[in-house]
Amino acid sequence: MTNGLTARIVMRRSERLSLDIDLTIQPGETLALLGPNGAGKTTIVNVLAGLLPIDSGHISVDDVVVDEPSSGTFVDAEDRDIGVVFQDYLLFPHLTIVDNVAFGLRSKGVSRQEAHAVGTVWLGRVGLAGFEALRPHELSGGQAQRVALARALATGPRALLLDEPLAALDVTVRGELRHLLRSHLAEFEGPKLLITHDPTDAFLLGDRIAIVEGGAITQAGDTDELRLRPLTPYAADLAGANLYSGVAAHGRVEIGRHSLQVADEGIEGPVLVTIAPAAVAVHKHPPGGSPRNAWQTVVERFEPLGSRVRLLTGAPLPITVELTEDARTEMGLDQGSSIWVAVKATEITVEPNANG
Amino acid sequence: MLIVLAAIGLAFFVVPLVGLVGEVPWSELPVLLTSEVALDALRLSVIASLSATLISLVVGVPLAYALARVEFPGRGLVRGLVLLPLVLPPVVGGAALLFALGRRGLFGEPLYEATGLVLPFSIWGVIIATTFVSMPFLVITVEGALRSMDTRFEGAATTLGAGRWSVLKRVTLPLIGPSLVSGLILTWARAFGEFGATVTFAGSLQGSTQTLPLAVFIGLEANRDLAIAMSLLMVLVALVVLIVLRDRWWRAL
Amino acid sequence: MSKAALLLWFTLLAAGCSGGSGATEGTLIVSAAASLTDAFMEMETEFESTHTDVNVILNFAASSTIREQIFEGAPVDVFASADPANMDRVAQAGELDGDPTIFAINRMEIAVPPDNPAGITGLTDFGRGELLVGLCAEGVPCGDHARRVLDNAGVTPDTDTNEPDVRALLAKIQLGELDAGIVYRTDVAAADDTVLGIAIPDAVNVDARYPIAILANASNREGAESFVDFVVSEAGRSILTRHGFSTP
Repeated sequence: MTNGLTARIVMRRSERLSLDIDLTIQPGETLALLGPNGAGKTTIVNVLAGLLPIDSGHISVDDVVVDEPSSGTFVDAEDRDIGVVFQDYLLFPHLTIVDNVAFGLRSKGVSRQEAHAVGTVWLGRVGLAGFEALRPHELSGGQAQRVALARALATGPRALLLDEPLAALDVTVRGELRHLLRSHLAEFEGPKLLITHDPTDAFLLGDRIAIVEGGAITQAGDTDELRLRPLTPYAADLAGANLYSGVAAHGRVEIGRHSLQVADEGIEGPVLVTIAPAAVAVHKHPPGGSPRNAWQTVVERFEPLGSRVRLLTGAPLPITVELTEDARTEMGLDQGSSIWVAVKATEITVEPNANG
Repeated sequence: MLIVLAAIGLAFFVVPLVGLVGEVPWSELPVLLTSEVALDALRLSVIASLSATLISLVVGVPLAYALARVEFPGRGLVRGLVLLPLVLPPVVGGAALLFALGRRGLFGEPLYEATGLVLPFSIWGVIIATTFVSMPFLVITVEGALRSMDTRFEGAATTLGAGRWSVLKRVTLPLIGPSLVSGLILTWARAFGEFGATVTFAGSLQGSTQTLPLAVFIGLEANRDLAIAMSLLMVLVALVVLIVLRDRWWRAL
Repeated sequence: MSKAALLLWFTLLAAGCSGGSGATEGTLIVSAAASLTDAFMEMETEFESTHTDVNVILNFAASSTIREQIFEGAPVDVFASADPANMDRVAQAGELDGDPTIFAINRMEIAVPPDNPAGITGLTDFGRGELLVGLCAEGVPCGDHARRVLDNAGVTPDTDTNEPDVRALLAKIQLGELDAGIVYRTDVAAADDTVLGIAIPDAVNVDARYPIAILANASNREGAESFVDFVVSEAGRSILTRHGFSTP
């Protein structure tokens, strides 16, 4: 008895790409599918939406089988009732945005008047009240994304698929829209699949994360699992991005038993912390000067990357550091070496995290 | 340099026009243009060109859709056939129509025997000949538009619950709208100026099949002033249509 | 019309106009009415065989078209018209060197498809509405003659098409798309079995008198004179008679 969305997707997309994916998403749960470009993520969206058929396996939503080659079952996209937010939004350029939002309702036979009213309500919900008569080309990226979301949700679909919903946005607005997206996702009660290549998106928006590489899921779990026990180089890169969940208060963030000083004094509550590996300084001896965040630790592992080297340190806060091979040899660093690491408060990025 | 070349290009269009305008018998113009010959010819030209455009729309758009979206065997050949009237001299096209649809034609003879219907020497013959030469313009324009549009919009529409016809009506056709309009204009323009296929297939009779181009051609022998007056009329009609649709024309192209 | 003249000009230029005055050698441009096609092609062969230094270039078109070409300055040496009217207009414009000579006479004849499906017997059939009949357009000599013939016979034709030239009219009769038409007797002769001719009584028939003349601007005057002499000679007349013309 499975509500939600379950899928076993097996298909050959091209010479180079075969997919073999198992997905289960509970109602109300957001699964973030994280992976490099070319991994087949958009194909997964198209397949679930009904725009492409699978070669074998099955897809069911809300207990209804919508694609099962072995039994010859295939429900067309128009009958699947699955909302999709596309990577380029694909807002119909010849319609006003309220007509865009109302499109799905009109497809169901809802009268023009009623569909228009519902569309207007939805636009209000995503913060675009008053914009109804505009055309898509008159909107900013962030506004278009919100319209795309409203359009997908307006029909009250059974499930929601989002294909890189924030990728096209400016860095400056991405944070704000991520928040908005999170609250709308929280309101939606069906299963949700979020496709992204940005780990921050995945960690902030996903209840669970699955890493997709080369058409298969290489690792699934929550952020800590991914970070501490990456199973593939790509996962390790993600881990190496130094993403942590913590709790912020009065300009400090507690991550596990360690405390860091951060530049943002106003932020409170559960947060997601990012520290770029290049922003971490490594010293053989306690560093002088002003870095407030400095601690002694041990080199647990290191990974050669050409002329550069990646070190993973141990307690109290495992962190990935990058330095040149020359520097490493100069300092005589090896597995087990004792080092001091230091990070400036200004190099620590902190974002609110409701999933923390 | 660019301006010089552009000016030469412009000259190709302006010089003959000036030559024509220079020959116009201005004082007799009103009489000539309201003569029976001219009015009959104008009426027939309008009927034939509009009918050809309408038929091209109704039949040509589905054909263009099939060529653009449906993979069927021999598609390249079909497209070649559709383009053939553009390449064939119109008189050859008219002769072909005669062989096929004339009273003794391959299909025309059984038709005549069954229904007594004769297509040449009637307005129907004019419409058929005109459609034959002008429909390719619509098909090619629409096929091009369908191929170059972003088909993902159609996918997005289906995820919003729209069935095939609904997608066509509410998304595909509106998106190719401007190209469709420009295709219709080109089609009408070709139909309006059509001569060779019409005179060969439908013949020429005032009030029945003698459209403006035919009347001008024959008039050049018998009544030169009338021919020039009607030529001017054709130019004026064409200019009015193109100027009125100017904005759409440029946006579409 | 000037377009046609231009085209003729280019064609002739390409063919290579050489030859100055004072010699029959070189190119000779003869513009003749379309109905003279078969006769004049034979005329060309015969003439060139006895005048090996002359290259005759034939240009066939409706007489009115040739008239316009001459007015537009096309380089024509000899003009053979299907009717005196067009020749007179050229003469009035001062384009002729000397007077025209009538060299052939054509008469009209009814042409029907070989099996004569409509059972045409004479001119009165042209008044029957249920038939498909055609004439040449007004202003085209063939058309004017035909109308005069019908007028003489007191018949009001129920025409279905006025074709721009006699060849188009003939083609439709050959195809059976028209039940009947009025064309030149020479056209019927030239068409062999592809059409059947029905004679028009002499009493109502018209003589189409064909004049020939040398143009004032002829570049090959000697050649032109030679050619015209040939046309009116015994040899020329027998060629013409063979093709269905009478000679004066």
